[in-house]
Amino acid sequence: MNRATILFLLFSFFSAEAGAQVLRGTVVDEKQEPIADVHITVGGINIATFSNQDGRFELDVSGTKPAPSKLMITRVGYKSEEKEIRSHHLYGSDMSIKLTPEVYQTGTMVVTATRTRRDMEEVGIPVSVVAGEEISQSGSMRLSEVLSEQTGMQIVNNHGTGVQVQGFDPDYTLIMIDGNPVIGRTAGTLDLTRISVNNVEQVEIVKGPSSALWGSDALAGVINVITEKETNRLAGSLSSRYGENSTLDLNTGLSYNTEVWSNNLSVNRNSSGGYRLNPESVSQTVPDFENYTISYKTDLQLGEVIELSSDFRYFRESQQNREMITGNDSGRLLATSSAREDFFAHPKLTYSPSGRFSIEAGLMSSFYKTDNETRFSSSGDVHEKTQFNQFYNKPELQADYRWNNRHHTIAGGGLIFEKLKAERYPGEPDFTTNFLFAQHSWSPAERFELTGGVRYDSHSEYKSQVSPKFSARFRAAEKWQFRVSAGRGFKAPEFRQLFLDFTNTTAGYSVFGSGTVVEGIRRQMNEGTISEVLVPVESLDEIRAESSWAVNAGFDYDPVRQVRFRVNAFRNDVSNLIETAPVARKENGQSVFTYFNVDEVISQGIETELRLRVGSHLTGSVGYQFLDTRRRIERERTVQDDRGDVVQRTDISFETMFNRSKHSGNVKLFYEHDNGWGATFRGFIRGRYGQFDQNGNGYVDSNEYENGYSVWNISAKRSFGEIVTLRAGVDNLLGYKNINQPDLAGRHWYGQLSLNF
Amino acid sequence: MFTESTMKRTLLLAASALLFFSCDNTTTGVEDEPESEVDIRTIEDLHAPGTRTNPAANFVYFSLRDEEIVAHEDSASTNWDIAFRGTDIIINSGVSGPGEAESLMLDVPFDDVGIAPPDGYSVDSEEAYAIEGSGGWYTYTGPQGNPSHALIADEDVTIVMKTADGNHYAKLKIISYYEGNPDTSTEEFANLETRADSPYYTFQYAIQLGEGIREFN
Repeated sequence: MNRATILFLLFSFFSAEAGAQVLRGTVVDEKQEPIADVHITVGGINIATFSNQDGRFELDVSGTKPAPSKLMITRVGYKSEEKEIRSHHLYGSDMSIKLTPEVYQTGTMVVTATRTRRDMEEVGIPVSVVAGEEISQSGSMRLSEVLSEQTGMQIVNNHGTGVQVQGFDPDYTLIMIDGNPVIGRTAGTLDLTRISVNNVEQVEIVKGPSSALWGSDALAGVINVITEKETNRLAGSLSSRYGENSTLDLNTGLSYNTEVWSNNLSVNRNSSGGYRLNPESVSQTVPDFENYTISYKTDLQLGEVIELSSDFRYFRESQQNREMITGNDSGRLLATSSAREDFFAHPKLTYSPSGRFSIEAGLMSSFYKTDNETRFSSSGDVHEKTQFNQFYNKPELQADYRWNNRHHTIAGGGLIFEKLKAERYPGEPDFTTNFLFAQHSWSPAERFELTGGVRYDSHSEYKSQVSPKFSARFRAAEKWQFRVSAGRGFKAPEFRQLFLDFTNTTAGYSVFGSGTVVEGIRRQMNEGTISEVLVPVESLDEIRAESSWAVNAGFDYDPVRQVRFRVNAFRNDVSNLIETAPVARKENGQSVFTYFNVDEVISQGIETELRLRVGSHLTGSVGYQFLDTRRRIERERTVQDDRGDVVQRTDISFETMFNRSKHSGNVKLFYEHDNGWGATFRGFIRGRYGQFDQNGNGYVDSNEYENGYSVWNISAKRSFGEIVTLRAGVDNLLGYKNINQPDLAGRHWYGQLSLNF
Repeated sequence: MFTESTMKRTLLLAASALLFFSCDNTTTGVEDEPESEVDIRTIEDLHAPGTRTNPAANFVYFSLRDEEIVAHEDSASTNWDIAFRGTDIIINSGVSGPGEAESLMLDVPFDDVGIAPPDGYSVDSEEAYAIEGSGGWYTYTGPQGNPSHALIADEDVTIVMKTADGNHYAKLKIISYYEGNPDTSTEEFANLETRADSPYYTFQYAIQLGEGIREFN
């Protein structure tokens, strides 16, 4: 027996007495970056664990027999390793394990796909990620600018700047910041210019219905903005950007981190003089505005197993504009000023007693407010004043358990309390949602993973929703990986569809929400204004959420290590879309309307993307989407039968929808040199699309198409050391303008100075 | 293959047809059957100003039978079948005239209407004209349309009517509301400054000269 062995035996004896033999270590990649979720088992013994986000792992091997001799280290996307356990490893000396990637490897962790941090290569549903580095290289300020350059995403404008995903209107995509749903939609659109992309780690995009995890609104997909979390002890950044239309963006980030406490603060001020696309209009297309965003994120480690974290965000924007009255009082000039605010706070407690198990409890509180005031320019008297207040509170619990390296379960539940205060919603409606969800991942073999999940949402005002989702990933060969997923998504009826109680004072018609219609009709009958009830409202079906079933299927092909070709085909069958229809006739000849689930839409297409890296300085991508979105159209036709008699026939067909481009694509090139120089060239092309329904038939006729367009952006930068970066760029180089696309207002130059310390 | 019930119905039809013809023969004998003769005519740029430009504007009366404009003085006669003023189209019956004109509208292209329906016709009333304008024979594109504020005749709508004397069936299709039947997809038409004048009706109609015959072939 050599000395080492004797020492080992001796130590084992003492340690056994002391009660613990623990293996500790770190798993890293070729660049010394930690790798999470690595499965580590002790050879011959059924003891296993996973590495954490820092690549750290711990294995208690006290009293195991036979004595541990080697570790088996496996992780999807990496070559499996075996590591011999030396005696000193059992007595506190760290094990260092290096894994080399098997194929094209991004190493990017995403949370949006599965509600747990997973490598984007490993999840069964297609996820794309825009890295924070790419965002800052592009000089983007707001989320809408970032999304406009992504494959399969189309920026559209309707009561704000929103994004069309897989042919769906902006209403159907859930927008989150660090997993917190952003509230405050106007006519369905959540204005993406509200969200600053300074100090952003990455933007995660999941396409296809994700209500199984995220509930309402995740019908077309989910966009999750992950803000930056510095790891340095003290770090700060300052950035100032100035451009066309007096657009000024000032940003500062500050972070302070110790072993147990991390703090990340970001403050942004964004303002613009606005601009006018229609020279004849008194109103500016984009009014002059000024907004502030403050976000703060903190983590506090309370001992080994408890972590307290919290996210805060506050946004406030004020804008000024002018408008001309039409109708009565025609021609008088109004000055409008409006403000909007949003806020959320989300404290969360995480308890992780072991590497396999963790549980987190959080309480998200959020509000969205708008305040509009119009005054007569001449007299200064108030013309109109409106306010809208929405409150959203969500206590939530989630548990996470890894049974072994093949099975992983998450489950959770919570409550959502919402309340509205606004003129058109008398009685300040409030409503609640209870939800439960569970998801299980099973990987029967290394190359194969199946995930199934389901969520149940029970709402006080509409029918309960059950949203399942299944996905599968299969690495058929080293260069080929296939993904298939199918699931259901839903979108809760909007406030107006539930609670509206509105009678137009000049025209005399009324519109009620599904929750107010019975009471509203009864009231009007008592008032004697109803002449005929067309539909017995008491017997109407309870309103249902708009919902969709969808399938996504595709593959990644990596012909060589620096090239990835991704294809995803999708098909969405959407039903129960909500529309208005008359339910009663009034004495004044007008109608009473309410909301019904009637419409159906089919949206299908194929998305492809080629990403490549040339040398160590140049990366690029080319994307293309083919899209076919059709709405069910019912047409009453007066036609003749065989004998020439007049008959009424209902023609049902699926017809092309407006504002959808069949073809769209983008090209991106990023150049970054060690000497500090960098440049980008990005552009997107949108094919022709239906602009306006001239004949009112509800679908695009051949003469209703608007020509497509392309937008090209360039930027160049120079870094001086680690600290100073100068950047200049031109967006929309060709100067494309479109009055219906206020975000496309012609050429836009800018210059930027950033400091990092 | 016939099912039993259709077979029975066919037999029944054949039997009643026999009965009908036999009766016919015994009572009146072979008479002058009206012969089918269909005339297809196109009228270009019939100018019919509306009351918006001239509050005192009269309807422009037209005889489908004689293919000519009928003087305003004859408006109380059955000489005219159809009349135009701005976007309004009236027929000679009901509140509009002393005739027996009736019409209906089919969502069927002009050429595909091979026979006039036996019934389902209506006359002009206080509430509505028999020939419906917006949503009927034309679509108005509105302020946001391209072209904007344009009145586009619906390709697939055919007006079927009886003439004022009640004897002839006709089918009619409005082709254009603008002078010279311009291409509505051009820049020239889109521009309100250079757009052709209106209302100048261009329409096509087929009239069955054989009395009481519904076929248009």
